[in-house]
Amino acid sequence: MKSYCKTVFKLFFVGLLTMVMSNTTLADYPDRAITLLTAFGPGGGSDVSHRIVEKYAKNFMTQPLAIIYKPGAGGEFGWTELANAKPDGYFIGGIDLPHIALQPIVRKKGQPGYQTEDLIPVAGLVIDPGMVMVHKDSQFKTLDDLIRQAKKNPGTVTAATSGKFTGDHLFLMDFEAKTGAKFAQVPYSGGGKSIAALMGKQVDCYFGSANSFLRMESGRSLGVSTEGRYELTPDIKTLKEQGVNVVFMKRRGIAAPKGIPAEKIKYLQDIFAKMAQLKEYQNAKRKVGLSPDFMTSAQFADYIKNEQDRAAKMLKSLGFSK
Amino acid sequence: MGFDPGFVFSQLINPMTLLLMSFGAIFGIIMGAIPGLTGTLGIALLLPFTFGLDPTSGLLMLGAVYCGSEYGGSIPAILINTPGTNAALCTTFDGHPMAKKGMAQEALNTALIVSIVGGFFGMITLVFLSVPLAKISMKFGAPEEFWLAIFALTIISGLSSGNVIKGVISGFFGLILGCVGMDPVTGVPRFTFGTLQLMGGVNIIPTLIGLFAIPQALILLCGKGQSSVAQFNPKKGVFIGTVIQILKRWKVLIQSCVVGLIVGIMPGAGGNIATFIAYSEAKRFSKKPEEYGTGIYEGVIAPEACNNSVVGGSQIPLLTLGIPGSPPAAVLLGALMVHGLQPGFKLFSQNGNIVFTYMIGLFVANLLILLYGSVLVRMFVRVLQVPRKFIIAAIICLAIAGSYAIRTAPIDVFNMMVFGIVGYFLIKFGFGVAPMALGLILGKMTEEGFKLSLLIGQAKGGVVAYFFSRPASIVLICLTVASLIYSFYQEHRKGKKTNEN
Repeated sequence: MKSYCKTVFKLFFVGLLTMVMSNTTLADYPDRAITLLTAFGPGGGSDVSHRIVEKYAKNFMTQPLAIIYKPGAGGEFGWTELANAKPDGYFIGGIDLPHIALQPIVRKKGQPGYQTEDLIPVAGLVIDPGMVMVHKDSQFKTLDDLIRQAKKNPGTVTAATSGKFTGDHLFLMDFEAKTGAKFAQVPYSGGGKSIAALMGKQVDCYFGSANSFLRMESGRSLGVSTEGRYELTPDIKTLKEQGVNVVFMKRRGIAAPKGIPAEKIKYLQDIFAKMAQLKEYQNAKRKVGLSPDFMTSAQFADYIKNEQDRAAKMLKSLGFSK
Repeated sequence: MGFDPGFVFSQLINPMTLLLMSFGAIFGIIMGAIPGLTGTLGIALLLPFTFGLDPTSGLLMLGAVYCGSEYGGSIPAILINTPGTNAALCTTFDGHPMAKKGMAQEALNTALIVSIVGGFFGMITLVFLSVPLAKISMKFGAPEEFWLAIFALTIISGLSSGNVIKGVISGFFGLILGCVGMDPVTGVPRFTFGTLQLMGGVNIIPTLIGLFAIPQALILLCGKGQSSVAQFNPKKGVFIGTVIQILKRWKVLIQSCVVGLIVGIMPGAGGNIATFIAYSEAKRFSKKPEEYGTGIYEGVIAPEACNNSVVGGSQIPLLTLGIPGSPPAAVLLGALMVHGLQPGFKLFSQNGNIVFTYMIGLFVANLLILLYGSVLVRMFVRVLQVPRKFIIAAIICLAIAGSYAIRTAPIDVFNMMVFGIVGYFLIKFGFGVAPMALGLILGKMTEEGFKLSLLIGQAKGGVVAYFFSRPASIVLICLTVASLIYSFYQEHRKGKKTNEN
């Protein structure tokens, strides 16, 4: 019994010590590498984006970023891991929108997983607007051609997306709602496969992002979903110019688990803010087909809230959520 | 296709480039040789180190890791019957029996030499036929993905040693496991029991580590007799002898290279199933198929030549179209992009120097692997001298570390252990683990190909026509039917033979 008490005491002491140690002041932060979680596999769009951050954030950090991959379930596995991580500022992760707003809404009841509110935004980094693409030999020369066909024969024009309930899907739904056209969605698993499908003329069109278009051989863009002309594709008309009022984009940024001290968020946000000013960083992002668009923690939080409302409204109107 | 031969040459004889490639090659071999640590992870780990390098030498270092890891996977497959990479699964079928017969050195040298030949074959096609082959690869859509998977499923009968029914049951079980997780097309979770961990499905790599490594450790544990895994009897002149043996079997070698290339260029098909196809085709065309699995050269030549020719094949759609043909190629795509190189036909004209230095550099990387490999083989083969108890401990440690390393998730270790026990009983009762592994690998591919084809077929108003009328599909359907008829014929002939005896 005595030794049992001793053990309990020891454990208590160790616990106390860890609490004291983990409560170190900001002055010491960071005293070791900061883990940056990627919720997708190596080589994907998120990975490339994070590697560029890793490369250029180095200039402003005393400690390196260490990238880890937690792929699975379209990002849900990794983001849940992020939400449950210790909020000590040593574990942050890349988040994608509208994914993190969408997934908790469409998640089946009783299925565990993160909530959008569990991820505290640190900084918004890049945008990637939606784009309607066809093969360059396609019979659809203009956006009107495509809409007309999809209206005349609803459900016969096949449209690739990078999966059900992804940003692409939301973009397609929005497009359908605004134009009254009806496509047959072909949800490939990921952007890479969708690009391959369009290039191989397996599908009639692809509702993806400008990033995919910039990576693609022999594609033709019928419109980009930005407010004004998109900086990376200045020759391509916006959907709005062509009378379709769809403004949609994916946004990537960094988030931390709920409970992270405000000063640590501020510290990290300032580092990313400085990095975002770098010309080399901006060009590297543009070169991989992403447009740098920095947002502070507060701006990013507002943006996420808006996206959440928008996704909820759209899914509700289409009967996909309660 | 503009490039300056002088530039390419000067880059390749640059001592720094050679040093980096040597490092990449050795690192790749080691990553490949440790179960669970794959080429994909190896490339991802080294990627940040290339930031400070010029794109050419950085990419060559990563390319060398890829080539090295495909060879490295065969080492534990041969020595301890535990594949180091998925692509080396089939190498265990004959590689380890060879080691048991006291021919470990021959098996390791065979794997090394044919890996280089396969690598060369892939690179030559990459240099000369990239553009036309890339265009062909685009003809490969959802229905072809489905038919290829069905074709690969017919291989199960050839994989099951002895009882075909048991093999089919094991394969079927694998397919069911492939259904766990989100439906690839509708996103509905299935068999997840309300857990998040199963949302993404049964994780393939830890499952395969479990299926192959743990039963091996348990079998060694239960076995009596000799104190080491197999006999160690170093001989002189094995290398030359092996070369002669391989040359005698040039048909298997070339055939397997071609299979690797074709499957490698298909976007999304992945190199995992290429080796299965190469092995079973080698067996099918053999005059003595019953010898396969007993430890013959052909059984090592087929998968090893194939998995290295996948390296070249999978980079064809990668460099020309920006679509990776295998998981490591996907990481290379990321590497290209981080270095500001946009894959595509334009890459060849705009950055011709870099691309051609890279492609020709991969030849050099293969030569380096041959050089270091032949030295390392002498070291690795000494594993056989290690007492069995240490090998058992090492296998289990590596299996745990390897499955944890994939995404540092404890659930993957649990997953590995569960399938380790399942695998042990499968082997014990004669079901075999290989058909189950193939079923699991093919599950998602079959389902996705089928459902996406249905969606497209419905939209186009003819599901049946869509499945059966595309030229590439017709070829695959014919192959499937031929494969099935042949398996039945084979069974029939075997039955007759046993009756006569």
